[in-house]
Amino acid sequence: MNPKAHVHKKITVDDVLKSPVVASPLKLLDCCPFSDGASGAILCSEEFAKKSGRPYIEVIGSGRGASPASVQGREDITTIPSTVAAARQAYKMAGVSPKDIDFAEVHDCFTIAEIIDIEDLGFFPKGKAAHAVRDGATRLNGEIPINPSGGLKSKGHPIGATGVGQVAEVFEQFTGKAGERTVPNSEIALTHNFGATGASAAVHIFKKVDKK
Amino acid sequence: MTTNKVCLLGAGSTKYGKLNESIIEIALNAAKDAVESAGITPKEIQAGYISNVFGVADKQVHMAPVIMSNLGIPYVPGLTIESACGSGSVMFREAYANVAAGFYDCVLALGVEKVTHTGTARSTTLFSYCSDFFYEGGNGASFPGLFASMARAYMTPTRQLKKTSLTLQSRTMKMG
Repeated sequence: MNPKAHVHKKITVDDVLKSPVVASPLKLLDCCPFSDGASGAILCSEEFAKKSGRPYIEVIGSGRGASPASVQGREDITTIPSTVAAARQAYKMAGVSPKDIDFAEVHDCFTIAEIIDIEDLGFFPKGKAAHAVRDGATRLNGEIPINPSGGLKSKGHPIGATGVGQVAEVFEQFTGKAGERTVPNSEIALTHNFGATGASAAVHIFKKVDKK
Repeated sequence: MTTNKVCLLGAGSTKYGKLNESIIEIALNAAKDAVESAGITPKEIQAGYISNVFGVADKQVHMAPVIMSNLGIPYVPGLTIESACGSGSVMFREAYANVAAGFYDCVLALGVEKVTHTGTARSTTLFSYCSDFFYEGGNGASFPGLFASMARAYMTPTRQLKKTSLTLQSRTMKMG
């Protein structure tokens, strides 16, 4: 669905379960690949955007967060504090809540990361995300589509570019360039990306601007 | 604090995967894509924010001035930012903040990586430098291992987890 993605195979639950163990319980297909690649974005003032006469998207929320650098330094390792803090700031600035988000690009370097992310971002209550994913809530036609681009595991993870690649996906979605992976009627999107095991994170919220 | 509205005018990407071009060529391809999609020329860019982690693996660090020079805007200031796998979003936030603060009207936010040519073993070692290496990577806890420990905790009933956590804490105190 994404011509620029690293992995183009259709992968079933069975394929994942049959792939070799990397670090139990994670199997090879629970992990993202090492990728090469680059993504870029042009950010500008509202005046500059209006003068351009082109379609643009407003960045309505921006948040940063931090966590203890090592996993052992954390009180609870089923949540990533930097995500929680960055999301809280971004939601507050944007004046929206998780239920207002039409789709999100999240940091799914491993399957467990995506589960923890979508709980920390407030899309699902703690401990409920795995079941919600199984029930299809995060699919393209689900209640909150997650990673329409394919995410880190399919689109790929060129680590310095990943966070900008998520922004490029929002741009393609909101400007009608996402083809068959388009999230219908989407107007507000969220991007979430963290470093290492979540020592640093940033969350951004975007709003489609209707051209008058 | 009052800040100015910030808009996303264009964005673009190269293919992700195993690429043969140099890291600078990869970066420039995405930059050109982004500039074209915004309908601007490089001359309109007032600052560049570049995120990258392993430039050293392709013999290029201090990447921002190299990219700005190759875009034909060598006198426009650039900044290279590293925050491991979060580099792209952390850099984007700095680009955002500088436009929001009114320092610039138009900036380039560009992330790039090239590691696959180093092979899986070398890439795994390089990535482990992004962990708290003294405690984690240096003791063999690579990222799959660290996330596996998070997965195990997630799958463990709360009561058991609290007990494990208390045991670990008491052990730490004894060691401390």
